[in-house]
Amino acid sequence: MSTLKPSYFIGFDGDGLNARPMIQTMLEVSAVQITAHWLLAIDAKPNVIICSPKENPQTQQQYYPVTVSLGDLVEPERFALPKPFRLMQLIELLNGIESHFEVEQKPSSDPALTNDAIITNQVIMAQGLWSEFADFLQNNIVGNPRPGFITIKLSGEHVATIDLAAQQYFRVFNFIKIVSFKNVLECAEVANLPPNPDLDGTSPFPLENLVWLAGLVAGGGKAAPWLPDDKQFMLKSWPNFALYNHNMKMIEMAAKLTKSPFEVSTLAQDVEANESMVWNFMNAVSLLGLCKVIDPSAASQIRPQTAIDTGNQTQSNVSSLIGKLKQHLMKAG
Amino acid sequence: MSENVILIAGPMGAGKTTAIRSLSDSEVVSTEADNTEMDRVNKPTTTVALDYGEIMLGDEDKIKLYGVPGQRRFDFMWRILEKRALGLIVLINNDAEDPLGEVVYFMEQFSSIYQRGGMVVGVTRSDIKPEPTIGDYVIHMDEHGPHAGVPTFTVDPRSKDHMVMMLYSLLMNIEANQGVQQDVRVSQG
Repeated sequence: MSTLKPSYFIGFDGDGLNARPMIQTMLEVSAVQITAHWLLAIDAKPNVIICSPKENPQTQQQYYPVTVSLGDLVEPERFALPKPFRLMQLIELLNGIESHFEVEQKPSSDPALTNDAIITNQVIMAQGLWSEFADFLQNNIVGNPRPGFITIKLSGEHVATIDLAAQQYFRVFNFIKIVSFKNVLECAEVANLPPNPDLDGTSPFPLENLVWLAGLVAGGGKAAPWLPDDKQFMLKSWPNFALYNHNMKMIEMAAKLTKSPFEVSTLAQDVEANESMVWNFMNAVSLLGLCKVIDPSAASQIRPQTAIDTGNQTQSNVSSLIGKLKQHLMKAG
Repeated sequence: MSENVILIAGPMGAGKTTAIRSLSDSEVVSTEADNTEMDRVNKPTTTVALDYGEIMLGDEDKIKLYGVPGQRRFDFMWRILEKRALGLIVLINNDAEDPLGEVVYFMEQFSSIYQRGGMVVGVTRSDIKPEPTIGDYVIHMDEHGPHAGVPTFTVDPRSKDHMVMMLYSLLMNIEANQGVQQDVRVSQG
């Protein structure tokens, strides 16, 4: 289980790419012993590049030269990873590089360049409009991994931190409570991890979980500003409900919306839910990029996304089973 | 088809036995033996026949949960069980050698269930290996078979909440498929 620690990315160059599978495995098994959070770079700029192997003339052994870079700091071949790989050697290398980064980032005399420098600081939500926070997440954070952190303060109290590189967040208590408040919300992007004893040792949550929660409250029971209220909607795929606070109605809605387009009012009738609940669900799935908006005039042209017709022999059986399972789950609490 | 049989399939080590224990109301009947493939999957025992559990729905009805052994040499059992099954939960461990290949393999092995929308996929151990992502699974399944809108989730088989969510999604998906098919039949007269 990871805890809040700085994140860096590893990339590969030339034949160094051959080391990727082994490094991936070693990172998984040594996560506890490594002081920073190291990830293999996919889209992000790597802070460590493992290059084509060279031969050490003294020992006749191969080693991979390692280039490190952080901000303006770029040091080719300052470090090396010997071959064959040993777990302890990788741990020592990565912890050594992290210490080096810490030394290089020591506060300078210019306050604008210190570790705690605030890169941006803005009031995201002044009047309880969670749609503004949802917009901020979608346009600035999601899918844009980079070194640094976002601190989230609610009425001046530090309630959560987003690790931008790892695309994860840490929260002081259940965020569903936070999103019920209508207070001033302030987000600051900072280079280094801000101290917060309440967050030390807490486990991270995937960023999509925060996006989902922001989406659920963004419209307050109506269409969020980015969704038209006179169209039909369909889902491209199922939301990963294991990551999100959800209820049975949402599962029912997902099952229907992955097959055919629906207007919110029709869907609300079909699943016996309030329209406001359906809108909250639509706002959340659209913020996650799972929703297709369909013009009612084009909806009749859409072929239902359904599997092979098996006849109606099992229809009543499944409906009755679902009813009984629901009762069973409600009894079980 | 009125037996309410749900199959739980997937490669060895994906968490099938654990998932049945999380769901079952009664004590699970397991047939475990020493694992002779420790080089492939590092666990001391593995299922060699069937795991069996039940969810009791009132006094008379129940959902029967069958966990089928993951080793492919037992695939003759899959054919027998497939005919009786209402739905299929496929569990795939994300740290397997080829997890996307595994999901397609089970999709093809249980093609009749897959094609009628009776399959749900649970990806386990994604905390240890985050890739492939859920999106990768969805795209890969669509590339290898007719679009069946398979509900796909990251799950922990030890979590009853996760397993109930999967089971409920499976049943809702089967029902939604049937509803659409009925609408199509009505519109075609």
